[in-house]
Amino acid sequence: MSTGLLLLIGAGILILLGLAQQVLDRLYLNDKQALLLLAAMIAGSFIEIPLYRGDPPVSINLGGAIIPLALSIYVLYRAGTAKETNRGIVGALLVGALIYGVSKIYDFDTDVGFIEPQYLWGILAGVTAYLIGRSRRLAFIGATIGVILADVAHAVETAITGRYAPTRIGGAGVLDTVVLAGLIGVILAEVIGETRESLQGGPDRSPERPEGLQEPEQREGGEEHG
Amino acid sequence: MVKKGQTTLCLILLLMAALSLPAGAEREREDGYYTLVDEEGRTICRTAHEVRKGDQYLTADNKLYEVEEVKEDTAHLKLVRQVDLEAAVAPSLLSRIAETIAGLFTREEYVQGDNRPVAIYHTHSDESYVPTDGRASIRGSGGIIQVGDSLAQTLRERGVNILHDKTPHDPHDAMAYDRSRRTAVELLKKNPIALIDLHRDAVPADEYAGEVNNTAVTKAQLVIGRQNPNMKANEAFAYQVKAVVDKKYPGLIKGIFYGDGKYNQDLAPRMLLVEMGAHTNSREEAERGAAIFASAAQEVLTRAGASNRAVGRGAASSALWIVGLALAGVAVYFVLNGGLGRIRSEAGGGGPEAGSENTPQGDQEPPKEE
Repeated sequence: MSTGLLLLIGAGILILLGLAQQVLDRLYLNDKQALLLLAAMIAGSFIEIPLYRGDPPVSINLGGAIIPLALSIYVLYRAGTAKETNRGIVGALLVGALIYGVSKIYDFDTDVGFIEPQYLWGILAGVTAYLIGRSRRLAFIGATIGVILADVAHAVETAITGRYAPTRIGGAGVLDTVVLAGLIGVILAEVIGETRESLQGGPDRSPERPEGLQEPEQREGGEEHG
Repeated sequence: MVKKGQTTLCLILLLMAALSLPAGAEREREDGYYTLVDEEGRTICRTAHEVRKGDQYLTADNKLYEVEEVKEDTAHLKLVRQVDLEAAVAPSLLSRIAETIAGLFTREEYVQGDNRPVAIYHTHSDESYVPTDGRASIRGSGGIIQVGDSLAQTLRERGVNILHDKTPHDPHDAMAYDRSRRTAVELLKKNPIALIDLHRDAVPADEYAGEVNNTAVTKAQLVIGRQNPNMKANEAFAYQVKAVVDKKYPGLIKGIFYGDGKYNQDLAPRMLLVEMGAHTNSREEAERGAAIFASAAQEVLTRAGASNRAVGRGAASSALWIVGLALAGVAVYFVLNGGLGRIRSEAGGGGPEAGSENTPQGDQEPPKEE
């Protein structure tokens, strides 16, 4: 293997792991837990669990769907208030519907389309989550559950139309759209949040910070952490 | 918290924006074709797809063009450069020295890849050829699968180990690549030496019509995803394939198209997206085209050693881009987080006069959201 290829693979893995670790850090996990979870997702990528053996078959991948789904449910469970939990559930349903709907009307092929759909799903999740709850956690929940729901909709669609096309939810494991959309969603929500704060003069860190400059969610965020 | 009305308004706006995507997106034209002309007004190619400023195309004779202006049905191209494929894929002096040294210690079989399989799959498994298949799209098993069979058979006859995956990824929607990604990853677990996603195009028949030894065949087009961190490595591999095929059948590869996507090419450097003919060509012509393409490209497709160096150089350049972009991202993020201010105040913290202005660490943290 050439040095260039090794460099590319190394840089890619380091950056992906770094990003994933940063994202997991925002989901109530410490560094050790985050790394363990990543390792579980990578190992779990090789385990495919059949859900329906008929025609068309449906299966789910441990690393690419079950672990991200379990993490989303854990984050929902850890949410401070019932309102936040509800917002998470509504957000995930909305993102799922949005991804499925857009995938039907967005014309994408090798020479049609303006953006890779895999990026688009993460962007839809990140923006929706930010608009609903200004929340990185909601972006993660929305993106992962949203892509899984879109896959479930595909399974239902193929069952109804009676055409053989297997559904392999999260089948690409840690490289699946479920995981990548989750990462993109959180990072986007983070960037939107930070940019907006910065454009509005940034978080005023002086002791004389006037109350009017405080963002409403800052006060709410404090409560939810408690 | 955002007010309810405000949230609803935002959601409606978001939905409207999402729904308007296809309107703004580049769509196939139903009322005619675009003609791409060079600076002297010569027709370079015709396409049924929308063309935008900045689009690139590498022609059969290796001229890289960029769209400068689109006026009604005509896109005016500017010649970017004449690409020397041989030079682009030839090993550098340094890698030749390294290869010679490695050759002293490595056995030839290792360099040749130990008969690792070549994998073929079809993201758009429904794609078909109207003159022979009757329709442009047949869900479940389109004509493209048989063209894949032809490609596979030619390589098999030459002793190549083939994995031809015929999983349907229907319907032909924007999630098709998300579904075929799972197939591609499954194939990658079997350590293939190259991975081919075989498609057909959707343009007038004469765009792909060709002839080899007085027999009608379709030409092929390679596609490279521009929104792909691996792009330079994939491009190097595509250049290699084209250079080798050009030597045997000049013009069989009608060009390399740079598309706005990544088509799962981020998964591995030796991934090739091939368009074999268009829906307007007959499937038999496409099958013959695929067989000839396979026989000509075999050398590069099946020998890792034959293209490792060029792909490696492409990969190194991709790696530099990724690291550069990541650093830029970190820098932007740092600045947005008030990093400069913090550096200044922390640097000033050591000085006697600035010390009094320091605020407690807790206050400097950006407030956590939710």
